Amino acid sequence: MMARFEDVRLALGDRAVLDAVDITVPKGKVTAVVGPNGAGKSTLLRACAALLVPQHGRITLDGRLLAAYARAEIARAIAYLPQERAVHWPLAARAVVALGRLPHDDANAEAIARALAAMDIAHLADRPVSQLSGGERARVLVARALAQEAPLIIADEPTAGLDPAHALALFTLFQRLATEGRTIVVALHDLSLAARFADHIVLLANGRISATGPPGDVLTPQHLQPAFGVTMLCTIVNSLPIVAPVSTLP
Amino acid sequence: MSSAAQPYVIPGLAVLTLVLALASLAVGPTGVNFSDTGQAWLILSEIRLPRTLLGVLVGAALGLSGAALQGYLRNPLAEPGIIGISGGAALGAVLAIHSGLAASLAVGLPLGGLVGAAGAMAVVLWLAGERGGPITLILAGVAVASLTTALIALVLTLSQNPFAAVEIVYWLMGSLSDRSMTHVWLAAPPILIGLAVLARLGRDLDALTLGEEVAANLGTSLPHLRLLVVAGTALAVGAATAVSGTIGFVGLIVPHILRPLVGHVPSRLLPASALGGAALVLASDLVLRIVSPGGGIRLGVLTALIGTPFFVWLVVSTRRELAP
Repeated sequence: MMARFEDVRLALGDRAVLDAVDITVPKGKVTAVVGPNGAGKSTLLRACAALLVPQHGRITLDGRLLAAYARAEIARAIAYLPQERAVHWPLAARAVVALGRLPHDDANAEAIARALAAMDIAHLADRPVSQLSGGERARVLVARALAQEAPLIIADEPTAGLDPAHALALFTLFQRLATEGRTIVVALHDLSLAARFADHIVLLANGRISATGPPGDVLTPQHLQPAFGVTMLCTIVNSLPIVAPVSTLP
Repeated sequence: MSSAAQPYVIPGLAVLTLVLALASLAVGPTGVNFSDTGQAWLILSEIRLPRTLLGVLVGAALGLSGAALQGYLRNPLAEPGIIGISGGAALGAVLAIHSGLAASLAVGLPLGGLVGAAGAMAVVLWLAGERGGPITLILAGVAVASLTTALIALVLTLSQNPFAAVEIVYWLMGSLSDRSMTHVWLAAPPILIGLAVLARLGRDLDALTLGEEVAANLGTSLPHLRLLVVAGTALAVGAATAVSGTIGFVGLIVPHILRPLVGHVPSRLLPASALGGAALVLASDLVLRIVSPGGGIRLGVLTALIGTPFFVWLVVSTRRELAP
């Protein structure tokens, strides 16, 4: 599924959180949205998931206005994983993952089992989420979004709290899902992970797009340093891209 | 409880409710002499049947709306009284007694209660605003509940007829005694419609377990859900309060006791709480008939006597959970 933002302006209260945003989220690719705190990454993701409506401009999915989609269509087309990780009742992990099947009304056991296996939590399936560690709970919530089996997956900081092995596994999975034709949009802070796994980068600063394109073009000191206010080391070690902050700019 | 036992919870509660309903028909101050079928039928159909039916309807209304509100507000301390509906129903009924409407018209009292519940619902929804979340609903409900409490007190102090004042106080304590089939016919339609509305919200309440954004992503319309929660509660609890007075704590403790037995899943808690509420009200009413056949203890007083220690325990255990 291809998403397009055309001249999108979105204000929360009086503050314009996104302004003049023009981007294309390509189908079958992993798109990483990067930028400093408060740049508008989460707002961009929420708008893409039809949870916020822009005051100006248009957002389309496969050429059709997002606002024209019915609620049930969106639930089947988009899986949205927020940064917030609240689970309000101590449900078993399997029951949480099963919530991802609500848009399909089928409680498809295979889809649930696939999602549990993909996130390496099959052994935790019957445990109440209240008894899991933060990282395990995060994986349960990712599995919920995977179980939705939507063509567009939007994930806000999905690797926060994950150990390196599970963070790598998650992005490897995202890459595989993308090659199968699904569209992945993630907001993240780990720029090396973005450089290695994303096909397309959107760099946001102060609610505006400061650069967009392939990682090699965007994740460079001349784009990153003004956006983040730090000097950046952008290098390649053992053919793996490394993007690391060095020191704050004066 | 182990997940293997979960499938038996709802059938078990259904059997329990049925047994208590039959016991409720069988127990009373007058022994039913089945050799005199005419008299037995009269006692059963005119006195005990309405009481049993109301016990089931009122209990189911309180239990189910408690479960739905706790699910919607994602708070185990929520109960139907928190959104002001039972206060509105009580105020309407009290005004019906005060104005003499209840004395001149048999259905005047429950009608007053229904009108009061509808008024409270309208005010709560208007105050909470079209796009407000659970917090604004609680604030609006607390405001309406406080206002109705104050207005009931005002009516009581202004009441020039001491008999009316005593009647109001007794009625507020909640009871199922001396109700006729007229009460059943009046209360059953709104209660059943309210129960039907609330019983269908399981999917959306499940989705809300992961917060409002995920619920919206899973296809839930939050404003629509809130309207249905409030309207279903107003119909069910409003009508229940209109015929039985205020019966506290059932809507609070029943979902809380049953939640672990259904794996904490909100949709499974709904039918379980409807049955559990019916069973608790029937059981409490049976206990009353046995220990206090003269009607000295009122049903609402008994449920509060059981409910308060439970509530204290709830507060203490929540405190322990939240302690660092």
